[in-house]
Amino acid sequence: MIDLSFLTDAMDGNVVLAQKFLGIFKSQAPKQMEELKSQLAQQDWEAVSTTAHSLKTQFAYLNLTQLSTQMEVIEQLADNQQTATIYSLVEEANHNFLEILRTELLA
Amino acid sequence: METSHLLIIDDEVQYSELTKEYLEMRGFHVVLKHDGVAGLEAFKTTFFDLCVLDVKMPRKDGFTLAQEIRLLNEHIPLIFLTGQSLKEDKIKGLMLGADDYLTKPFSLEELYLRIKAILKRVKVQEKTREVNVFRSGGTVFNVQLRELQVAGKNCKLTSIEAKLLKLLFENENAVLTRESAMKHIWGDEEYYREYSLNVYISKIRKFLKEDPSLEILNLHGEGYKLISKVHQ
Repeated sequence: MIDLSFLTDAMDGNVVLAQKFLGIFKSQAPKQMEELKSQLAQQDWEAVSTTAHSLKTQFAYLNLTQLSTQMEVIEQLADNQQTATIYSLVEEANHNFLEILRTELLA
Repeated sequence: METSHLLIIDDEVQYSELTKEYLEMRGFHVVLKHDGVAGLEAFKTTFFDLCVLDVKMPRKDGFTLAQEIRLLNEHIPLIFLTGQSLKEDKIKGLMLGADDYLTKPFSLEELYLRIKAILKRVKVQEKTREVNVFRSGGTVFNVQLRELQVAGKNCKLTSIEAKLLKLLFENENAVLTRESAMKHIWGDEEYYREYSLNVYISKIRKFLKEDPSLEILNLHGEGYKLISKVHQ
């Protein structure tokens, strides 16, 4: 679940900055998840690593720990080009993300 | 209190704007760049009190950038930001002389407090030693070593050139009279020194020409003024 208190704390209690963060996340993260899938299809491991790295941090600020951990693993797998499990992991993370997007961010 | 100037280099284009906005609210002047190449260019042409570097960036990563910044200015305080919690990265950052290290997600207040603490420490260190190094824009002048670095290029100055440049820096944005310059350099104000002074001023102008932020003005009948466009 998204925890906005964690984000607001990280923004030093500044609700305006926290709302701006959330706005950026809502517009940027869905596009990045789509990019991640296409980068994976093209086996562009450097791009996969960069995108997963960015998403990892964004999820962490929203205290979405499971998604953040999944992105960290994807980033490491891409860095080491250990691609056997990466496809299913991205699929699973995408499913989790869409669920959060549907139930919490777009509700 | 004088505003401290920060250079933040982070490839998270939109999120780093929030960091900039927050630090500006806390009273800093912030320049934001989004890759290591642009960051290094900014560092070469502008004076900063502290740099905040993201580690994982396109074109030039934060560690490489830190090494290149250190070649230009070995004393500039550096803080690394990273999404990695890997111990090896922290060690690498500290080995490169990082003054601090923050792992994302970090609190903006924590970043602010760490910057403040480092700047306070640096100011105390500067007060306790005689000013032997002058910095402005992309220029660093080490008086003791008589070494001048302009936009990343080094040159060695003669004793008189170094004395004159030190006087100009000590009187930055103020008038350095010809009489005062001659007295400090040669111990007298003999009229025939004026020609030599002009020659040395021309030489120093040549040394500084690669740095657009510095300019030596001739003030007719008075002397010279070293204008620094940094912080103006």
